This record gives sequence, C-alpha cells and structure tokens, in this order.
Amino acid sequence: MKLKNIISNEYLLLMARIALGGVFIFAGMQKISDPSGFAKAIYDYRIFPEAIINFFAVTLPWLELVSGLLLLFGILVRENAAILNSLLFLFIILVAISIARGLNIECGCFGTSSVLRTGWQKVLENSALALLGFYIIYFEKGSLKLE
Amino acid sequence: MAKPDFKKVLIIVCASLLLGLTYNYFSPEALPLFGFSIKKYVSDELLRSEGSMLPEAEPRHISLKEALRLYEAHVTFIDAREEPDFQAGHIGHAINIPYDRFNKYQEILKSIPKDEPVVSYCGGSDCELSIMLGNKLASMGYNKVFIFFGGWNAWADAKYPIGK
Repeated sequence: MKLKNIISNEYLLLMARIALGGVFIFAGMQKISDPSGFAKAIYDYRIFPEAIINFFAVTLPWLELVSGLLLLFGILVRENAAILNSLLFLFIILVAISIARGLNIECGCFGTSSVLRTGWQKVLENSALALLGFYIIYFEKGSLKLE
Repeated sequence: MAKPDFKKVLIIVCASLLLGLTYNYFSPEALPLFGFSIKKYVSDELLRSEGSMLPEAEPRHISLKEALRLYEAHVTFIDAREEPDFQAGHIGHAINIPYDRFNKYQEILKSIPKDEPVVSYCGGSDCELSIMLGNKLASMGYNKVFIFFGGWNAWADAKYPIGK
C-alpha cells in the first residue's frame, strides 16, 4: 500500500475531522456556558477595545460550536476546516503576542473552567490542530458524511 | 483539490453570529453587546474573595492594594471629606460627597447605577466618614460598596495617582 493511499484513507480523514471538530465543539460549549468569564479572558489579552469584547464573547463560541459540529458530521467539510483553521491562526497570533509582551494570563481556550495559561505549548497545540485542518482541506474527497 | 467556497464560509459565519446573538438575547446570563466593563469583574472578585460571609449589600473594607486595583478598573471613588480637603488633594478621578452635607450633594449619585461598584474613603484612620458614607450608600441600595479605610493618607503616602 502506497503512502499516499494511507494518508488519503477515508477513515483517517474521518478521525482527523472528529479530533478537530471535537476540540472546537468542547471549546465552544465551555465558552457558551460562561460568557462573562470568556469576556474577561478576552479582556486580559489587552489587545481588543472594550467596546467589542462582549460582542466577540457572545458570538465566537457559537462559530466554534457550529463549525465543529458541521465538520464532525461531514457537512461542508472544506469550508468548516478553513474556518477553524482561520480561528487557530488568529489564536496562535494572539498567544504569541501575549507571550512576547510577557503576559502570563489564562488563555481562555476552553472557557474559564480550565486554568490553562498562554505559553509556547498553546502555540504548538494550535499548530498541530491547524495541520489537521490543512490535511482535511487537502485530502477531503467527500466520503463518510451526512450530506 | 477543490478550494473552500468563500460564499459558504460566509454563510456559516453569519449563521453562527445570529445564533450567538439570539442565544444571548434569551440567556439569563446575557451580556450587554457593547458594554464590557472591567469594573464589574474586579469588584465581583473582591466581593467573592473575602466577603463571602457578608450579605452582598454590606460594605466591605478593602486594603490599599485592593483600592488600587479598583482604581485601575475605573471604579468610582467617593471622597466623604469636606470640600476644602477634597480640593487640597484627592484620589484621582474621585468625586466629592461630603458626608455632613449628603443631602446637598447626593444629586451626583443619580449618574451612578445601584449595581455599580463604588469606593468610599476619607482622610484615613482618624476619620469615620468613609464608613458612615459607605453604610448610607448601602442603605440606599448600592450593593457593591467598598470602604477604603486607609483613605487619602495611605493613598498619598503610597504616591498613587492623585487629583487636585
């Protein structure tokens, strides 16, 4: 069996979708359950103007949840993987900026129930997830889905 | 490889946005969409950290360090001393409501909602006006009243921001 056949295997793709989608479903739900805690977490990055913080805190978790679910169920797979990757890209930049500025803050990644802090580990985790995303976008063939 | 369809991406994003707004509208934990204020978080934290035995309406005494945190979160400070003292020097951004002339000055309070945190202070340890003003505010329905008993003296000694 050639390597290409293995990595474009539909079950492997499905597992990638479950992993990436699952992480975002969990993250979205955690944030939705505590919007004001998430707003505080956004504030702690000290990048965003106060006027838009609540708006993000209210809407962003739903994008994570919806996109994660659609990806999991195989609906518009490429589009949703692209959305999640854009979010990951944004998170990587934000975490990197906060590291560079020496902020030791809660990352807010999974709401406030966890006390994860920003750090290079977060950048690595996000990068790994983004790789999964690129893999899905590239090899998605349209099998194993509900559509 | 087919590229992601940008139009579909936009639809997903807009749908999620609408869902979020709708959920927030009906949620008991709804946030005001454009009204983030760090005041609320800092004061809630202080109320939780120690005052858990107190009913929420009871004013809570805070240390110099806690006062500074509230100051940095733009919480309103109320100076209970007489006007000349206030004019000679006060905590930055503080407003003046001399306790002995409360009725005359209480107009100012109309601009402060009852669930907003406020800090009452006066000269320092030889002065009880801050406690009396704090209790008065609490009895008026303010439910996040803090009393900074160290007051002006402690603040000025620490060389924190002042106004004149």
